Amino acid sequence: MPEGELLGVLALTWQATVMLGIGGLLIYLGIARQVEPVLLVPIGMGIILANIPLGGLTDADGFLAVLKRAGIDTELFPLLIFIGVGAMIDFGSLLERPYTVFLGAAAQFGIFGAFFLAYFLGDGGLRLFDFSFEDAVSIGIIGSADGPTSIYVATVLRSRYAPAIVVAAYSYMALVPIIQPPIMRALTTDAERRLAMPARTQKVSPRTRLLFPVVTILVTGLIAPKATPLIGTLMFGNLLRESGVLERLSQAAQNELANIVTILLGLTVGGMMLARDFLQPETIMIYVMGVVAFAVGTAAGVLFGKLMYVASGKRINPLIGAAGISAFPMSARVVQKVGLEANPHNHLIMHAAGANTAGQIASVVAGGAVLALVPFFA
Amino acid sequence: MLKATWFVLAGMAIVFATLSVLVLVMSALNRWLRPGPEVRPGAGGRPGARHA
Repeated sequence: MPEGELLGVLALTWQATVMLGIGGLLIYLGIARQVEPVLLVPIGMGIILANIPLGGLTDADGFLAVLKRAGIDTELFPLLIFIGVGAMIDFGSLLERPYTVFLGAAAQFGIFGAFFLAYFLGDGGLRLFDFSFEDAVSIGIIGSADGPTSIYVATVLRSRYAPAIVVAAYSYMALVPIIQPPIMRALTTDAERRLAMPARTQKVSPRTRLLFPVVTILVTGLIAPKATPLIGTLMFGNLLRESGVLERLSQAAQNELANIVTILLGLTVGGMMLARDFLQPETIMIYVMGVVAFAVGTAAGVLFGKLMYVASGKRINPLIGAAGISAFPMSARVVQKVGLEANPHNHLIMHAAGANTAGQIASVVAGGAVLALVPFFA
Repeated sequence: MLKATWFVLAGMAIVFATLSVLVLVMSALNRWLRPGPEVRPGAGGRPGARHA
């Protein structure tokens, strides 16, 4: 038997074996447990392909290295994904309930809360972990609950922890139904949770829906220009949807484009998780920070919801604030479920969907804001 | 950590400011572009039709 055929086995380290196990675990979670299978299966396969010794997929001209250069280093993949996401989202529930935009804004405190903690544990305070200011910002962005924004910000800031941050961001989105309800229950009273909200909403004209993507690009681009690539692609996708004359392109963005880029993105992100970079204490801490980010974002949204509950004369159920994190549409469903537990006649889903879509825009704005601010503070 | 505090405040201020302007502009646009009152079926356009 030629010696070369056995070299892979001989070169297998315990670190690579652990990574192969993690890849297998993600594939298992995706297929057997249905945890974000669309992403976890390609990511898991990418990890396995990248960590097979001497496989060469992450060498300079290897398949995964080429994908990384083409789609991640250039920030192309997250932007292409956003075209698909924009075509999928109906912002009608937000336009019908404009006040929900502030719940989306408040929930972005999860980003900044996690950043603050990561920076305190890293270079800004205790120095327990090797987290620079840029790394802490990239870790905080997990709180956007928005995979493409996490990839975009971590890549632009050149964080060495980008792969762990991306995997954490996508993993925790699947865990929203577990993370959010205890926080929502702890911060609200039974009377608040029982509050039924009226179905009556503001009427929105078709022309307003059509203008919304263009106006959003203009407003966001002029105030937070660094968010333009993200908001621009998101709203371009939404314009395809709302135009009424581009159904074919809208469907292509929602299906073919989003699916192809998701496959490539998942494989590439998995391919970035090499044993030597991934198995560090910092990676474990990034996962802890991810929970903190989601929890703080949820708490901030609910607390702002309580403020609106009081300010509105007890007409707004504070639970809908939890949907301000942009894990779309999972967190809106969680709000509906917790609301129904308190009051079987309480249907909060459309109100929560407003906050949820607001959170999508707010997380992109927050991503642009941190990118604009980092040069002044780092 | 002081600069981190200012970073957090500035970031949240940008988020709230951007979304506040967006909601103001969209509310104004929606008011401006609001569809007119619907014509009730049977009301017709002819004078006196309502009482016919």
